[in-house]
Amino acid sequence: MVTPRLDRGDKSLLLLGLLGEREMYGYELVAELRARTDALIDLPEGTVYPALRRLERDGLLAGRWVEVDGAPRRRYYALTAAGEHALAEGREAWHRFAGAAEGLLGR
Amino acid sequence: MNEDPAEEPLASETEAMLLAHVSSILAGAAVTAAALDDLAEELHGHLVERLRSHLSQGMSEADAASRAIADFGPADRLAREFGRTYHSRLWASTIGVLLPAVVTSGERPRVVAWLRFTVGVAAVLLFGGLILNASPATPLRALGWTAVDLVGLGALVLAYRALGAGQRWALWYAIAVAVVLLAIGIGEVVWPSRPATLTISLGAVLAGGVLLGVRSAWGRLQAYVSGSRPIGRGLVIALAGSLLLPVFAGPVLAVLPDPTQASVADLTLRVSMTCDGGNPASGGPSASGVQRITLVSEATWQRADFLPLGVAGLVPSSSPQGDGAGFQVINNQPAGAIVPTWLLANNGPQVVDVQTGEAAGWFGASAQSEALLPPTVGSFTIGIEPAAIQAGHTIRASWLLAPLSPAGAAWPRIEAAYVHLDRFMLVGSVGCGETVLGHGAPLPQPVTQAQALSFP
Repeated sequence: MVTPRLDRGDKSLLLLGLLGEREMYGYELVAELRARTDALIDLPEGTVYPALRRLERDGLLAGRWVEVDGAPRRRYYALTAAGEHALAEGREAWHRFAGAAEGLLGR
Repeated sequence: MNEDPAEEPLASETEAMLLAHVSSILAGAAVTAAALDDLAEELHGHLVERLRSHLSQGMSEADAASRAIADFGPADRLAREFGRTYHSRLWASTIGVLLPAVVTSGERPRVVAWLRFTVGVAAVLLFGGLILNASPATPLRALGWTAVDLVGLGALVLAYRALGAGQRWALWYAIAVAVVLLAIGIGEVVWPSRPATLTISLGAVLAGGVLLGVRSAWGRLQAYVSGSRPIGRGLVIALAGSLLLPVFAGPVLAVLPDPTQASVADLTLRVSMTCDGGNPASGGPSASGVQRITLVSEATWQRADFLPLGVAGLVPSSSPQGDGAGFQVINNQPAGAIVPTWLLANNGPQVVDVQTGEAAGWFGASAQSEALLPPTVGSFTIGIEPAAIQAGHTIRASWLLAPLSPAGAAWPRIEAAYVHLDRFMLVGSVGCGETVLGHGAPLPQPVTQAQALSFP
């Protein structure tokens, strides 16, 4: 199983983190990322889709189409069991990394 | 009418802009057909939602569309990221770079269509060359031809597509293809493969015309590919190789040793000569008997070729192909003589497989290798069935000779030769009562039909 590593520059863990809270679609994820990080993480919006498809291909996410009145359909993504496991591992790795960095730079 | 501009239907031009961006991303990503519609709908939905959010902030529709596209990210970057999602790292770093999405800013000059046509013609010619070259080739050489030509074909297909997408590398590649076609055509005129013939290559004519068109439209072509990004030096070298390898593969593959084929070391040739009825000891004729020479050549194979004539050799052919053996009687036709001194004394030589006792060849056949037995062409040669050449088998050919003159003739020396296809030759020279092993000899130039039929 692939475990996203935020400390190695992999933004997939952020997507898993957001999707760990609730099911979301791409546009919503971009807006949440921007809002929740005070626009510190402000990637080209389209880059979220290759990442989502990669996570889906790896079995960490499951996608489904939802009809919307008066607007294009939306593809919602949710964590799979493997995704929840990967998120837990990724969080742990991140906390270790952040703790080590804090110990080194936080003084 | 809806008063909220963010709820109104989008203008067709706006929709076209959004769809063009999505198409550009997905064309460069080369995703599977199954994923294509799914992704297109998802990306388009995002662009529409972002556009409407800009509209709700008071932007004009055209500005909102441009802004939504800019927010979404450059097509080539997204195409590369999708490429990495759906393809291997190797694919992403090669084809994914050569076929990125480019929104061409300039109008497509008409000569682009002609350049693509030239690339298409080159691909057809290369494919034809692959069939012609690989089918009669030995296995390793056929593999070499196939690999080289498939790489060339792949590059041509890529260039054809990339030129349509306004890629600068593809423009240069297509120009190089035209130059190569023109050079080959000029080469055919200056150094014709058949002497005293003039071959005008239609491909060269096409290439020459297209190159003139490129020259006159150069400025517009530059504008057409101006949105393209440079490719790495490694890819440039690979592309140059893909273009030049098929041109130079022939001479290289011809000298490449093929371990699936037997060599001269795998064949033993034993030649023996028996003299009867005369006086072998004195080296001259005797009035007491009719002179006869029995010449026997035995070719024993330690190892046989695998598909010596390629896959083409599996197809039954009306013209027999195989090995050739023959001999020349040294000084058989002294200067000024009209006819040879020694001739066949019966209907022809016998060719048999010693192990099975079955016929293994024929007299005077037009085997492929016969033309490489220059002194004996048209007289005492035999052809040997390719199927008869088997490891551990000996093919025996025997000739019975008699002097033409009833008064007899001096006992001659005879040189016998065995040629395997057009690959190698063994020769052995014998006199009365001698047996020798043949040794390798350089292959002479093949003798033409006209030369073979002309007698001194």
